[in-house]
Amino acid sequence: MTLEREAEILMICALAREIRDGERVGVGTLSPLCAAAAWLAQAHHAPRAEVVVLGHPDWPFYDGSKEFFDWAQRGRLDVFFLSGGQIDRRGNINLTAVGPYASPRVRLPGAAGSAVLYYAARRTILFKTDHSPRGLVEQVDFVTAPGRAPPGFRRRGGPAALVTPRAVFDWDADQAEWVVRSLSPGETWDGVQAATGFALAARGAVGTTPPPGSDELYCLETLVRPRLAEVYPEFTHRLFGATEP
Amino acid sequence: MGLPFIPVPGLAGSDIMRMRPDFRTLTNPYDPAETVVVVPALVPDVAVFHADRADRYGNVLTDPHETNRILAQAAEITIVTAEEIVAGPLRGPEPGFTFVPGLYVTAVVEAPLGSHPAGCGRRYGVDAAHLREYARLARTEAGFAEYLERYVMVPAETYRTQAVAGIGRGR
Repeated sequence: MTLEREAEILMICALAREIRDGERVGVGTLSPLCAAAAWLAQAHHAPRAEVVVLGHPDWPFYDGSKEFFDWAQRGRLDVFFLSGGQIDRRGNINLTAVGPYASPRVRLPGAAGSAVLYYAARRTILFKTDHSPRGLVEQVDFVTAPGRAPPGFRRRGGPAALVTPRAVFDWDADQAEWVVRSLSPGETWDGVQAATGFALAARGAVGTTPPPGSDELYCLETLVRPRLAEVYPEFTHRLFGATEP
Repeated sequence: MGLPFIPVPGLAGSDIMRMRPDFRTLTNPYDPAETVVVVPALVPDVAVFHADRADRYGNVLTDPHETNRILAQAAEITIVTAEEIVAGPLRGPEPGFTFVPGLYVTAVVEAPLGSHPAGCGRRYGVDAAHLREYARLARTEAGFAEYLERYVMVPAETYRTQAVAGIGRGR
């Protein structure tokens, strides 16, 4: 599903706001929204964040993703992004198959290391570009990357937030569930509930996700755009149009 | 590395563990409170990857985003296709490339545009129009057969001519 441009920009801003100054941020494959968000954070409010984007010429590693995994496993990755065909209330991610594994209705792209990086990164920010009952579910059909580790296994980090076009969720580590933090402008609780396959939870007041600020938009246009175009030319073209900044 | 297996920090709690009975768990011998997942070594009979340049001694300069060097280290036989075979000898890393010494490489093959329709570093980008065409044709058996006939079951030179046109077409 292709998002409206406005919704894409809001998601980029919402993802960027999760990143704090000085953090080491990794962006994996096929994640143009997250690459834009990481560079937006760096340009806007996290100047000392270190951003590593797979596919970008500034990729610092010599041995490809293997060295990136070593770096993450060593505890040096603060923030990573993951998505999935299904994400459930417990923070489990399905990147493998919808329906029975042996005869899936939809075969998804595969784990691609998510079951390790979800353990390794201190905070993983989940994102889902389609907020629908079949994508945000009570229980994923296949747990590719689990929200929590079974007893006895060491795990450095886990889910921190979930960003969709309709809402931003916080992760409640004690209850192991998503909690609505804010709704996108124009969304209602009932509308978002109807689009979500699990019962929404809230702790206290639910706010509205601030729309993109002029400062954020300025950073996107001037500082993020040229770097994004080096990795995701089609996406950048679609987001910003053909004209040069 | 020549190891029989290696611990993996993760995977526990994933259904991947159910689908892969060869992925096991062990008690950490150095910390009995910890359980770790272990996976067996992979030793490919043959590894094949594409590179920017190779020389006649098997030295290779390749894309640092890929795990090509690990592949070459792991496999029994490593075949490298390259955009260009240079006189060389290539003596070591250059900025923007990973160096794979000829020690690991069994054979090199000159294959210009060998990454098409994917991109190859700074030489050429992804041929998005070609990929869209593939995605459209691959939806049906007949379409997939048509794709094979048009692009795969043709001489390499014919394919390259089409590829150059595709790259020139831009996005």
